[in-house]
Amino acid sequence: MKWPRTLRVLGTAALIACPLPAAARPDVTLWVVQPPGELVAFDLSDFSRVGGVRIPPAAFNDPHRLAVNGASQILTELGDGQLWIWDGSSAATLPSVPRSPRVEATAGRPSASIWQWLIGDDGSSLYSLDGTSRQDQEFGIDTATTPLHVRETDLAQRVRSTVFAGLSGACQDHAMLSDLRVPCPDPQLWAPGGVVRDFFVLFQCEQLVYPGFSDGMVPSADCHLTLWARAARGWKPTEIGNRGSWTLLDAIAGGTSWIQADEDDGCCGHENGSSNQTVFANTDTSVVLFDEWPRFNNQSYEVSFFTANARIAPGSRRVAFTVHATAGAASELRESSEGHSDSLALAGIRRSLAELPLVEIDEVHSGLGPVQLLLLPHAELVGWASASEVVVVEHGRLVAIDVLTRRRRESGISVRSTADAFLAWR
Amino acid sequence: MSVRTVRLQAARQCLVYAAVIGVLILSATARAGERRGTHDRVVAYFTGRPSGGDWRIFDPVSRTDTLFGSFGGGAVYWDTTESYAEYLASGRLYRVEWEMEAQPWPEVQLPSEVFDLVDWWFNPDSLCWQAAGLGGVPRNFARNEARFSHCHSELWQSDQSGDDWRIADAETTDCGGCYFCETWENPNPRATRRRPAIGLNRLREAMTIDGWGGTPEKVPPPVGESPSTFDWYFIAFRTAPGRGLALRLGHRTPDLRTFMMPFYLMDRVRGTQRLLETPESYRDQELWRIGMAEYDGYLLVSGTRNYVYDLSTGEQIFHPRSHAGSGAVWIARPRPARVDSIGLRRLRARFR
Repeated sequence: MKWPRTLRVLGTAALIACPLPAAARPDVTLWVVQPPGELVAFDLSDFSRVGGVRIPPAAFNDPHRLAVNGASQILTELGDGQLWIWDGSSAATLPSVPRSPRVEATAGRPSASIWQWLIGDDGSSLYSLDGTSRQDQEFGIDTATTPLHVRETDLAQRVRSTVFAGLSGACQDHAMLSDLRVPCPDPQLWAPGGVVRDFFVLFQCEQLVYPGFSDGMVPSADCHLTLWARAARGWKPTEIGNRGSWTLLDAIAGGTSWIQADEDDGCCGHENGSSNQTVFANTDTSVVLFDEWPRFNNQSYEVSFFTANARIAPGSRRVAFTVHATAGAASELRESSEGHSDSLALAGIRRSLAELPLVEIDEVHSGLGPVQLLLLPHAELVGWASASEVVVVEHGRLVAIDVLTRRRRESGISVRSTADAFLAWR
Repeated sequence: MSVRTVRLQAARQCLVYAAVIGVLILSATARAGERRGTHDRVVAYFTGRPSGGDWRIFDPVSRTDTLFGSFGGGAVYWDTTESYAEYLASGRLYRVEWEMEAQPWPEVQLPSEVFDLVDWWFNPDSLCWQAAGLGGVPRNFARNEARFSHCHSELWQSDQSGDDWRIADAETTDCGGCYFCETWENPNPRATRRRPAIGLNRLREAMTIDGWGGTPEKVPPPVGESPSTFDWYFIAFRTAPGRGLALRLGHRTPDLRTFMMPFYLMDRVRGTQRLLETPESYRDQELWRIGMAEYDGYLLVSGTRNYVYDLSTGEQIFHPRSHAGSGAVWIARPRPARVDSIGLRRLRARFR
């Protein structure tokens, strides 16, 4: 069929004038902290610079504070009772503790308030956690019960809804290998990259055994993680487990799939008390991605290998993570307390240390173990640019690598560390 | 008259108006420029410790003192276009754009084994970084005996990536028993060509009268001053030889000339003199390693004390909050902070 000439011209004009269809738009933007003090957006297709935002020196010098969402908004806690936000077109400084709502005063005990902020991904929301810190023991044994809230606000901190309102009771735990009582860790709000898409995780501790000061009972705390997922009618909580000594590294798909890392339980001068594991889990199954001792045969030596960060690819079929160690290749390695000298194992450990940091990319199939797709020595993971391409830092520069074809795209962008780079998904 | 003719006349009129307005704007800008001068240089100085003090900018025109950054450093160099500066801090070389609100960016990690890192530069021949290390060789010293017998100068060189360093050359010299090793003896001058740069120390040295070849002229004491042990001298300004400073010069050692308070601003053309304010200094105080340079109608006197005088009035206008012990120099005014967010608005629009 032949189109009339006028229609063809009009069609061409419409194609030029109209924005790209949704499917052709970029889903992800690369943001990189760059001199002279900016967070710069780059188009991932060709690493061309899109534009930059001046960020406060506190964020420039500690980019871990930065959270960037898919709507090109930036949030950072400045550490002096202030938040800094770029709403996509202008910057504003807000108080960490907004004037309203106020934390209700805790009767009988001066208290330190906790305020933590995350940014939403919808372009108009912030999320706050407010409660009372239990860390300050200056005022004696903590016996007070204080409120704990998670709220959704607009970008000007006006409360839209209270997601969670509860009470936080007195809480103490015991220090490892002693009956020394220590305050429970403060509650914490977590979302991947500090950005709340359709879920967040609330970490809080509760007292299991109240400390009896005369009968010598040892207090114990139950620290657990609650996944709050956005549902049709508000937010729905699900307990996703106790947090003994593991850390969430990443989560996607409404928080139904996540990567967690077991921390080493070595203490008291020992740093290799257990085999560090990193697990890719969902509500039904879990797959061990990384198991330190079988892999590095290092149980006899005081060096611990661990995953520093991890990212799940879109589609949840692939994962990538960075392996670090507590010692360098040239470090002196002591035998662990129950270890024995093994020159072969030691040589292997040294070879492994010489490759660090190392990025590993695995394909994960339900019911099967991980299949290793790629190992990148001397690299650190930034994240996934697509379902098959990762962005890593090699020799201080950002590189995109297709994990299937191994095609490399050098960006030429320098970074101080992997913390300088962010991949913000739409 | 045809419609075409009317249009042509209108177009001509528009062109004439545009030309007149353009000329008016240009002449107004030029007049404003004459009044204000170029004022493209400011006074840069450090306060606090080199490892963690503030880098500040004093603008004599607006008399504003602005924090450039809270990052101390040593061995500072600007590139020859004065668009960025590089400096050493905590064994690392940093670059900072010469732009307000700029933050430093680490460039090269210097070797940690160096005794005392005194200088660094980029060698355009080898395309490698080089660094000068200096240390004393201790000897068994008894009470009142000098600490070092020799000084050891090392030339370090990086590979082209800047990741690995090695000693390229070294030289040990007998210092005859010394407490400090101050002078780095270049062990291999042929292998140490430097990329052109503007060094902070060089700028300071260039401000001393020996540095710019000033010829102090012995003069009688200014009116109101009595003759003293030290002679009075007139040091003419480089930009206006009829004017200059009158002060007493001392020679503590052959290579160390001191300036003695007070200072007088002398105008030989008009036959005037004015006693200059020297806050935080006392009469007859001797200041070492003092330099002076005038720019755009302002005089910077820099050394262990720093003063800026408005030469039209003689007023001392520099009052730093903290002691600027390491001296102050004239340097290009830092660019204003760049804003580059237009592309981000387009990006945000794409995501809507």
